[in-house]
Amino acid sequence: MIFQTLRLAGDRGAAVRYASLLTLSTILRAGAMLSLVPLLSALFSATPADALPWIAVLAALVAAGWASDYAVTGAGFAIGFGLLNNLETQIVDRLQRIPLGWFTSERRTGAQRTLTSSGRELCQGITHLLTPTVNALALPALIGAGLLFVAWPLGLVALAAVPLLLGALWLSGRWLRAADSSYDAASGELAQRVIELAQSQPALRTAGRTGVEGTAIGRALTRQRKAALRLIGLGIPGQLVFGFATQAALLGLAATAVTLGVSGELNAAEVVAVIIVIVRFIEPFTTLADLSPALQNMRGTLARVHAILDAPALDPAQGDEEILPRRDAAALELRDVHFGYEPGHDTIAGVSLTVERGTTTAVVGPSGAGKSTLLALIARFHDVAAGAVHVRGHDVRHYDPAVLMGQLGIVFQDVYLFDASLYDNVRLGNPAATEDEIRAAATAAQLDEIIVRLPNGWETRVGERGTSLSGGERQRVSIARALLKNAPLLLLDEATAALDTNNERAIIGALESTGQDRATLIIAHRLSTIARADQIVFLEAGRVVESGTLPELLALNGRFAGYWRQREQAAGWTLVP
Amino acid sequence: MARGYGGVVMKAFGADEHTLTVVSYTDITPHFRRITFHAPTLFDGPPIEPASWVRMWAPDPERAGREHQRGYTLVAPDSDACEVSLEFVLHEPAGPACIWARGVKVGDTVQVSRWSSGQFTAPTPEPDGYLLVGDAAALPGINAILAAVPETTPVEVILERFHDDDLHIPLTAHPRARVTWVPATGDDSVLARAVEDRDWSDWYAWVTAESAATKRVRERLKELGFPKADVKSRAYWIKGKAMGVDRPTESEERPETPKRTGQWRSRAGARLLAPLKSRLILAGVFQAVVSLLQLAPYLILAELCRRLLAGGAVAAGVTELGLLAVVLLGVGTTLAGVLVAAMHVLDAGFGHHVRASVVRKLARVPLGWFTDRTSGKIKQAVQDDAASVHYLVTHAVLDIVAAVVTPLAVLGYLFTVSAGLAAILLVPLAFYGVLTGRMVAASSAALPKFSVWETRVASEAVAYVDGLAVVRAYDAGPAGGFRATLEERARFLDAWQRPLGGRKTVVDLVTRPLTSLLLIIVTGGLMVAGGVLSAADLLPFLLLGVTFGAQLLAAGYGLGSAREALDAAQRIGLLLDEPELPEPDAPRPLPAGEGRPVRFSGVSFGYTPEHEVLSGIDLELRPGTVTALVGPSGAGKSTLAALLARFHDVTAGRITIDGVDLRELPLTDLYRTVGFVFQDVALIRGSVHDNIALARPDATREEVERVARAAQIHDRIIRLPSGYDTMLGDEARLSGGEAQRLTIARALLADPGVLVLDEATAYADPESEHQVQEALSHLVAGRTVLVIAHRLHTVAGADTIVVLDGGRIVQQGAHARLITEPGLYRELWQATSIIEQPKASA
Ligand SMILES: Cc1cc2nc3c(=O)[nH]c(=O)nc-3n(C[C@H](O)[C@H](O)[C@H](O)COP(=O)(O)OP(=O)(O)OC[C@H]3O[C@@H](n4cnc5c(N)ncnc54)[C@H](O)[C@@H]3O)c2cc1C
Repeated sequence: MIFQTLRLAGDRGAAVRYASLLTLSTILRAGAMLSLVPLLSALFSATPADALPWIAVLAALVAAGWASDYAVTGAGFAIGFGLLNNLETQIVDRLQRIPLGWFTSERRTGAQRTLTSSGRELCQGITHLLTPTVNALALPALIGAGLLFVAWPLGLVALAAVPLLLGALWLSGRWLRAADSSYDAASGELAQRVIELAQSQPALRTAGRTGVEGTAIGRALTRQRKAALRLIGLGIPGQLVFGFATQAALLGLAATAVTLGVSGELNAAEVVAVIIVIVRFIEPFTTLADLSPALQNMRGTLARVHAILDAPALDPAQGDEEILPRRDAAALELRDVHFGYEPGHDTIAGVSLTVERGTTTAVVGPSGAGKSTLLALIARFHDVAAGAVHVRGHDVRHYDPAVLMGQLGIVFQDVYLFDASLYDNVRLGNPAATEDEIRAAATAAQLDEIIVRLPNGWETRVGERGTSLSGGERQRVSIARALLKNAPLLLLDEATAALDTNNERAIIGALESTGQDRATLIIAHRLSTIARADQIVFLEAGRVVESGTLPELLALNGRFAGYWRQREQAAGWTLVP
Repeated sequence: MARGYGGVVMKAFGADEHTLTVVSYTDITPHFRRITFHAPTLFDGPPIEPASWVRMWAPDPERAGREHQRGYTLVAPDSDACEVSLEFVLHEPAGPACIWARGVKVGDTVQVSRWSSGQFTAPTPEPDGYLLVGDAAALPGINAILAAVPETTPVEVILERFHDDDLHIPLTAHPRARVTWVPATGDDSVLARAVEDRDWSDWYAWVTAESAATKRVRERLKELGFPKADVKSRAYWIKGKAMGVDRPTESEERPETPKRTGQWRSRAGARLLAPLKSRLILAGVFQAVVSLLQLAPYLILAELCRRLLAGGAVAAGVTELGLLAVVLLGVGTTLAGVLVAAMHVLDAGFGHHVRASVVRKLARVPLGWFTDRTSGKIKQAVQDDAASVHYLVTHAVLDIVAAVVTPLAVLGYLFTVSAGLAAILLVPLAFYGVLTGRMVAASSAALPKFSVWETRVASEAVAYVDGLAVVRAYDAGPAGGFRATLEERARFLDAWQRPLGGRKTVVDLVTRPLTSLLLIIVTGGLMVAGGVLSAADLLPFLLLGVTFGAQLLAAGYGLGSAREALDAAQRIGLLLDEPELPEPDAPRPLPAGEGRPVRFSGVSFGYTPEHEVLSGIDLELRPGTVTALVGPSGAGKSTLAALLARFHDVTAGRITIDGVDLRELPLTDLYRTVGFVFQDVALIRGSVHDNIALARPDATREEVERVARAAQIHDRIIRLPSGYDTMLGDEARLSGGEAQRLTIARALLADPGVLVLDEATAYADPESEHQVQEALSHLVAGRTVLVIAHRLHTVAGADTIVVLDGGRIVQQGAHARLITEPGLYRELWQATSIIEQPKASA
């Protein structure tokens, strides 16, 4: 862990300086401790004045220790701040290249936390944790070794106590963590049940089943109570084992010292001096025990950092010349594309299709057919497992990611808006656009109506994730953005949430009409959108089942035709006839 | 410019001093002067909150070279212009501050310090009202508070008038403030008597008057039940003897006030923990004993060393002492174990009680209380907060007691051995106090900046990661600045922490055991060498005294987590204090019968008293008919529907089912009679069968299958791995449309007479829209139905269409009639029909 942290800092020179200063400081401390033996022996002897030179030695060692520790902190800060800068850059760089599919909601939160606090925590961890930990780890062994010269049996016992105490510390940490995590699991589980309970209140109240006795929630509560009691089984031994071990070590060492006194190898004053050193010998272990929760946190932080730094990355294939899109090639071509989120389970199982320049292809199919995955593969949010995706004549994996992104206009279902003004969110599509261009794009995407309604018009902030707008409105912003970008290939996921907004059709029309050369691939739900496409692809279970124009497919009277009829019925439905 | 002993102490702790230069002054009344200052350095310090004040050094009018410290409130801070004002009561007899203010000239300077000064901090949770008590000197502060209190919170201001002009000092306007001026009579309890005798539950009091008057008010508030935490009081001045008018306070008979027992939300946490209190105290005492027991072996060790020194290596009783030590160690550790085990048992019971109370609470709050936000609260309460309280009970209390008792016992003992040497041990602590005091003062200005940075980076990080797809697609925009933000923050941390780092190390060096050891040996060694102390008396110091300082400091950390746990208890307590849906006092069951007519008469409703969402709704829903609510978003459709299910109670008018007011209906009858199907679907973890039978657990499999068929979901269910016994969540997931049909089946089985329906058209999967529609058609048949329509044409066949706009019914009737009239309905219809009409097949 120590090395891991230092490695992240990247500055070798500083690390070496820090490590040597730290070693020096530990040796000085051990020296100070050991100087107690002659010092106290003299002090407790018949001639206490003999101790004076030793007192001077102790004072000198302690003072030198202060100086070196001061320097250690300085060196630690140097590394810490180097690490802070370096680490945050590394993480941001990596985040730019990780396939989006990698981000589960858990990893997302992890990444956010890492960006917010990891650098700072590790930076502080070096001075406030690493230094005392290394000190506490090395000190007892050094004292033990020193005691070999005072009386070798004592040294041996001390050296033997080191692994014993560390082992006890480790064991207690393990037990306590096990106890905590089982407790956390139980209360997390219960919390989940309680939330469900809250959400099902209406139905439960109808049934009069809202009590605690004899209901599912009552059973979950009882389980949680048992889990809390089980903590005693693990938690208490965890708390006691280390205490017992230190006491055993203390007794063993004291007994050895007294025995040495009885056998005459040490005189009484020496025995007493040694006993006092022994009590100090135990101290670093207590320090370690106090530090261990913080160390545990630091380990968690490191694990989060490494989860990101070691995540897979999408790298452009190595090549000398830069790959540029070809004007004459098809806008998009999928060649026998396979892809699965889990191995052995293909979400896309051999899809081939071509979208020519200036045409629109509608992808239609039941939910779970793989429609959104297909779009994500084209935008290279994931890499295909087999086959290839070609955009304007080249495999997407050969492009520099920035060049690829330049070819695509993307309007997906979960539209993300930044907590900035409406204007800024649209302008994102093309920061170089003029004011007029931005306004034109907004008008085409039917944003005008929203702008008029909002209190500050264009300058209204859209709220975190854009939540002050409705789902349909957010999508219109994202369409304006894509229009402004005016990329040759448009990937569009028709918002189902916006099915009832009035201007939807006009917007889609706007997208289709601008740019004669532009190709569009659209996941379509509205019948009107499907009807207007040049080509319809019916996707089911990751395969293209049927494809062709609307009349062709209706004439085929297959899966698509059935789907079409059902949707037509749905569109004409009334609640009461 | 050190000002006496106090000044030295303040300096040592890093007090800040600022020079203010007078730019202007005005007399608001002949006895109330406002002086505006230029204050270039004042704004670098902690932010100036309402009622923040300074200690001002006023020159002694008689003796040059002397200054007096007086408190004054900062008014109208303007950080751009670096200007701030102070308002002075020009009282008689005058004192140094007031004499200075009287003779002030533009360009005069005065020194002020903000060291250890307080301010007004809005308590959380927001109290039900504020009681502000004071006089002219308190008005600058009270005015700032009035400006900070939300406009909807009531405020009572009670002021003592020493001068007729006082009435002309302007007060900050507040829509719900009531101001009472009481004339000063010389009796110090006039303010206290002006505090009304009533229930002040959940109010917060701010009392800043003359010293004796403040004390009287405080006593009065205590009588009225105000907990200490909700009274912030501070004497602003003391009635001087020169006035010669103070009469004995008890001269007047104060009327006995009956004891009031209001209830304060701020005590919610304390109420929650009350049943534990006595046992926690007991545990603390027990822990103190255990801590002392755990010290005993060290004393024995000291004794052992003493005997060794006295009698050589083969001294008498060494073995016995060793054995005694072993026994004591064992007993101490075992008792500690028993204590922790006992606390765990106590906690398991208490934790269970708390969680069960939360669950019971959930069954009693109005359904309207449940939102996403409250889900978060519930989760926090049963998970994180419960864990904090768990930590408090099982560890924190014991840890704190141990951390305090052990070092104090050690210190006490060492003082009996050698007071002189023991006193030396306090030296590092004194250093520690001064150094940390300075450090806190030095970094307190940066601390608010730090938290600003933390929030900023956190929110940008969230935006950056969540918006990664967009960031990549456009490679620019607000997120492009994220790197810059990170770098800037790193620079801030560097500039802040690096200099502090050195100081922190010094603090650490001072308090480390080795330093204490050196102190003991040097001092003790000299004492031994000089014959003042016997060598044996040095032993307990060497064995026990070395870590004493570090231990005492550790107590501080324990207190931090205890504080957190108390906050957690407070949050849980607040959740348990949520108002419940009132059960009818005299319930009236529904008359027997089939159809259930529903009537809204003069119904108004608002979430807050100022803002009505619905006003004057009169509406009748006939049995067996469908009534559709249409209108633009924000018209109040969902609110109207929610009222029928008693998610909230109406603020005016009434809603009846079969002639019975909803509020008189027994709650079980209400839930059985009014069913609803909303867009957001809640499935519980359990089998498909259990999910459908949630409202009727005794339903047979046949009944469940029947409704599942009617809801178009049976075919899907039998394709699940274990059919109706499939565990949802574990074995199978349902798509949005499927889950929706499952809840329709649930509603069919519950078979309510009145149905509220959100005819959701935002289906999670359009492919199953058709089936959901079929299921809905089944569900509405034969009931009294109120439906919120999203697509107009789906409800064109409804018996009645109600058009809402701005919380009022603007049109009502059948489609055929409404479409012929000019009005909102026709406009809506025309706007949508262009889009919605299914396109003819190509
Ligand atoms: C936190 C805090 C904030 C304060 N903010 C303000 C403020 O913004 N404006 C303000 O005017 N005062 C304020 N005060 C009160 C002010 O500090 C006192 O009034 C102070 O005693 C005035 O000092 P002095 O030198 O004029 O009189 P002192 O030397 O203290 O007293 C001289 C004589 O004046 C009398 N006296 C003092 N104050 C008053 C008074 N207010 N009314 C009648 N007689 C009085 C005394 O009884 C005494 O007899 C504040 C006090 C505190 C603690």
